[in-house]
Amino acid sequence: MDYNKPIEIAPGFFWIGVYDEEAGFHCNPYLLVDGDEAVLFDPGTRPHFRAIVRKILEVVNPLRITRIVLHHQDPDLCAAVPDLEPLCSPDLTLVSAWRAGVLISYYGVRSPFYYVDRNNYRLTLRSGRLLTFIPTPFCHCPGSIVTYDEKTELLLSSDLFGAFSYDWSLYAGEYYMEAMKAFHEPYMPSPEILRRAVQRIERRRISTIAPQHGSILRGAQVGEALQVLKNLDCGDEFIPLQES
Amino acid sequence: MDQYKNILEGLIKRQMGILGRAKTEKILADTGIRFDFLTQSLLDYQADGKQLMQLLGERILQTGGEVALIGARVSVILRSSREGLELPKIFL
Repeated sequence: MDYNKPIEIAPGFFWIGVYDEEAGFHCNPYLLVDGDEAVLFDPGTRPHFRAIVRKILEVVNPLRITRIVLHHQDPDLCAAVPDLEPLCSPDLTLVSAWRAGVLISYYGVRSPFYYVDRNNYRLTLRSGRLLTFIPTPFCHCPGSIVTYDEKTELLLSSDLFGAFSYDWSLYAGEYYMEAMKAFHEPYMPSPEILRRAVQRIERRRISTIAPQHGSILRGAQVGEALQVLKNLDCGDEFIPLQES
Repeated sequence: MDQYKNILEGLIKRQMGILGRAKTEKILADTGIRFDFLTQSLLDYQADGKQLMQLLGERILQTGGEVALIGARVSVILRSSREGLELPKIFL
């Protein structure tokens, strides 16, 4: 697999991230090309800006990008968005939940927002293709959402199902569940909050989970990962705080 | 082996996920720990379990930095609490 190239992970969906052999925490931006329109998902990691733009250019003219979906407000998703905006369509909108958008504004973005929670958690592209959004509040940010594409049964899961891994590959390997637990235990706020989010997600028919960190899950791994996260002890009550 | 067997086994399995098998094999070198990577089970060790955990924690930190240590910390703390075991300093 050539990680220097965009990799199509489902029809029309491309991984446009960067493989860093030294990193224990990989970022996975994605690009959807749908007819004459394109959508970016969580593209904003600043150190990888040039590489991401190069990969976009290999797939599509960036002027066709009409939407940038930001699943929450963290810098690894959003920091480079102000630099991406001038390359995209003049009609660009930023897609997020309201609680995330309030904070995303402070990166100095200029495009208008499309708040999914004010639009029934749905976004219809020009072709008629429907993207739906699932609220996953406090996993790990208050305004966290994930994206579901009915056409490909692909879930773009943002931080959920992500992992810490120095042994990274685009598709999850045999030890991925341990790597996934390693990330969720210290980053998700509580077992109850995580379980509620996963229960909302598992109502959908999912073939592939593409997280923003870690590796992509397919086939039987999807069900296994859902079960692992529903039953995971995580969060604040398990983390000792050494206060002075 | 002592009462730290389960917690050590869990720590090693977790590092298989975070560091990968090759780096996990390296951090186990010269510790006297025998680990079956196929069945992912701890077969034997002779030293004091708590001291071995401290040694592994130091090597994990050296190999994978804070990410690798933080990724193991919650499960180690949970297991130690459930099994009534004292943790070495590096995991506190």
